[in-house]
Amino acid sequence: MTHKEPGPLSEIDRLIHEPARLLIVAILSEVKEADYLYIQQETGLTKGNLSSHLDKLEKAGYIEIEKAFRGKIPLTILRIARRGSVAFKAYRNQMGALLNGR
Amino acid sequence: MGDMIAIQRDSAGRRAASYWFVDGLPEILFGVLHLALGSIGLAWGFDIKNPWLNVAMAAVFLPFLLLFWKDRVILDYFKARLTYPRTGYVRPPGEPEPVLAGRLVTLGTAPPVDWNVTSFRVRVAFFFFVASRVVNFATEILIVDGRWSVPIVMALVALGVYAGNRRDAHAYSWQSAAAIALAGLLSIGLELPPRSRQFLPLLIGGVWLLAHGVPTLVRYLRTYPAPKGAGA
Repeated sequence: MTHKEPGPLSEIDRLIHEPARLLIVAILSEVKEADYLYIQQETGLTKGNLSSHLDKLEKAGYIEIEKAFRGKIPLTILRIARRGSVAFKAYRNQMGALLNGR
Repeated sequence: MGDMIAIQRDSAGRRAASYWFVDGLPEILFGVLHLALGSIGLAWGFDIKNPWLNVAMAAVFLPFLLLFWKDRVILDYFKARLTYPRTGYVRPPGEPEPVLAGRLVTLGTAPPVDWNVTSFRVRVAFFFFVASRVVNFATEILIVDGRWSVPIVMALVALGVYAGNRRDAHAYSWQSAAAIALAGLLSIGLELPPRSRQFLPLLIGGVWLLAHGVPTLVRYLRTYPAPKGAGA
């Protein structure tokens, strides 16, 4: 019996693959930076859920979180990290290969 | 409570670029200064002997130049107090290249996403200022009756505003652009001194920009009332 090599699905980055996190990473990959409120508005996630996903992405080194001020308004600024950028690019390639059979 | 994941039809970068205009502030700020400069210029053209007119002209022209130079910083100041606490802050990708030739090449074509935000001043607001100078040139140098140069120039401005932004994250409808041309046409009926006519494009531009910006701001403030507590 021949052993089949694992398909591209097994290589998919499951941290990014989760729909909410995918949306967060996809948004952050296209902007220089965004704050918590903007990401919440764009994703439609609740505060608790968004915080939990951001925490996971930050722990994986995919995003950077910075507390800053814009005028007198405190903002939680989010940016995609280099590692996150590379991971997202790889994810897109893998999904492309999987869905398009490339 | 379940989450609803938002479905985005436009790319995140394009949405971020169009977000810059969500509150109407860019149009309002440019509109107010165009209107003020146009109004003072109109009075100046009537040869009103008032020394304060020159002071007023300088007082408006300096912020006008400043807004063209530092629009992003100035708008950011207002947005930090009005928009970011309500719907958040986002910085679209990239900053525009400070190369005018490069900007002009993109007229009428789909600009890169990172040009959408600050190119507004060049591809919309600046047109009215240029139109004002063209009318002045036509009246003073070419001795063309300003009564006719204004409608022609405003028709070109309308075309430029429509074509230059039609694929932009903040496009204008052809009806909206046609209103610029129509305003130019209606100006034929105005009895004005030749020196005043050069300021008509600024007046028309100011009113047109405010007609876009003010309803957008009102709608935005109604949709997103002031938050009770700021920050995440």
